[in-house]
Amino acid sequence: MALSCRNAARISLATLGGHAAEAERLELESHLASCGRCGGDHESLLWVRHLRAYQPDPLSSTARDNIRRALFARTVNPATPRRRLVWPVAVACAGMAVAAMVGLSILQRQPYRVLGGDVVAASANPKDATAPVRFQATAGGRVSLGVAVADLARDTELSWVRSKQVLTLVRGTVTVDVEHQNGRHFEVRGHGFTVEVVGTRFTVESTGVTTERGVVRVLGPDGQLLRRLGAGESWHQQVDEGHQVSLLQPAAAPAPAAPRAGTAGESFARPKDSGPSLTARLDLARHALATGDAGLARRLVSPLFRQSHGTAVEARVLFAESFLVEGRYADAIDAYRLVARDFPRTDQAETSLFTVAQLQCEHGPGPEARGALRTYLTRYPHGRYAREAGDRLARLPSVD
Amino acid sequence: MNRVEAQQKNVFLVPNAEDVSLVGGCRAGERSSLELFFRTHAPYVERVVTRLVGPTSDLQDLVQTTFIEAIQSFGRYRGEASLKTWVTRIAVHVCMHHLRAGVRRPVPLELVPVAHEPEDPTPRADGTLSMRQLARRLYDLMDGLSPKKRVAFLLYVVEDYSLEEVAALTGASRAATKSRIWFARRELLAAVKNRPDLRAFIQSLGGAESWR
Repeated sequence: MALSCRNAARISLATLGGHAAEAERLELESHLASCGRCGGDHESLLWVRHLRAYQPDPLSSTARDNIRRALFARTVNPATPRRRLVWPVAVACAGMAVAAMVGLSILQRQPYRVLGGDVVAASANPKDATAPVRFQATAGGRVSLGVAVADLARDTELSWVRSKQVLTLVRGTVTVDVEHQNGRHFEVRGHGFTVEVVGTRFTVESTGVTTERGVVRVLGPDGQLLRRLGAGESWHQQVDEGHQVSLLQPAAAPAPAAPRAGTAGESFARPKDSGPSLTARLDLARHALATGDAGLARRLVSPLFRQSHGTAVEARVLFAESFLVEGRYADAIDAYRLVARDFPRTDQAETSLFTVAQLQCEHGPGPEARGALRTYLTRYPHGRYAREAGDRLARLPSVD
Repeated sequence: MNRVEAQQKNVFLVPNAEDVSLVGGCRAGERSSLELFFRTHAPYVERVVTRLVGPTSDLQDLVQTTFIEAIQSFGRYRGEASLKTWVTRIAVHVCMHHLRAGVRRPVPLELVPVAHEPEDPTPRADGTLSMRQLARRLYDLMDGLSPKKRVAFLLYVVEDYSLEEVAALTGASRAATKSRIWFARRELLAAVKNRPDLRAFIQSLGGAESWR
């Protein structure tokens, strides 16, 4: 096989250094005879051989004597081997530096941080943890509140008291993602109810709450437990008038909400109806998604999660799609994964898995995208999207 | 065993009994051991330093610095390599430090090209002097390289160390060493192309045919 120019250059170097084998030298000679450029390069470096031939004069005996005298004139104290303390000391210093930085960051940590959107924050005294901070968003935005991240929907206003870890919804809709911390609670107050959480993600509107992950407790104004909500469940107050509530409580099959003592005026948004009303609700949710009202779509489908199998899977798919409409891709991926996990034998499960892979690919062709495509192909090697998934996997850049 | 293997064996050789006893004596500060250590390794250290730095008036200082470093570091000698390898590594680091500092003392008078020296680079009757002149000019060319590339290239090509040995002596990975040598070659090629006088000089010495 003919030698490539790159290999020829490598062997040329090895030849100059005397590292090349005889066979390699012959191969190189053959290549140099036919390749003018490599031949020229090789000749241009042949002067190195003159350096090899150059024998420098040794130091004179006088110079060596001088060195010897200088060496012995110095105080040599090499008797005890020293422990190698460089690494322990370096690690200790690095640890102290990190601890100092963490301490400083804790001391100087702001009570909140606006992460995006057009959120305006206002506080009478930002350094006072007991003073409420008001957040207003016209087009929506995101705020970090220490252990929680709040996504403000359009035209939303919040009030935040850091010392009490209480977020009050003044108007609009907020989705809160709370990081679990032992012994610390977090509250979001709506109109006439309070949502108490430990670690979860949920959406609070003026009329109710929808839980996406974890568990929350809904408390009445008097602190009495109204409802404990698991993932995918929702709770809404009953309001006599208003378009949204009328959608939640279709006239065709009104939910027979039984008011409880001390909780007058509230009902659970889990309809006991069936048949056409469920279909109508799904249709309404689809219509809401088509018009871009993802929040309404979620409110419509959330109560259907525990309905019959076919209805529930449709509701969960629409729930996931609502995040896509809002551009919340991470949430959409989570929701689609839940569909694939909870309804593994359905067509929607296959579609959901492929959608997850597509979303991962569109938002960074990293290992996650590769993993998602492989997961799909492993589960559905002859699936409806197998060919496309294979093509996408082949197009992803190699990580090896 | 070919030359490369022999060299490898030499560098990666574990310390022998003589080394061990010599190190013991040096650690104890015995003058005879230190004297023996210096006498044994001085010629070799001189050679390595001259190869890496080139003709320089700093040779004596560099050799002295190498031995001072070695004597002060006997406490840290862990016996993972032969004494020769260990002292060579110290010499390499001393040279790299010297090259990095970029301090150049005036070269000895005999190595400075005389102003009226004829430009015709044909070998003179005094072959040694011509070789020195050539060496001076070739090391001038090397001055364009960074110390890391220069040392890696010279150890590999001129001193015949293998890639692994160069990596061990310079404290770099094998890949980094290979990369340094490769880039040094590329930069030297570019430099030679920009120096037609040097090229003519080398060709006049018959270098072009010597590889065949």
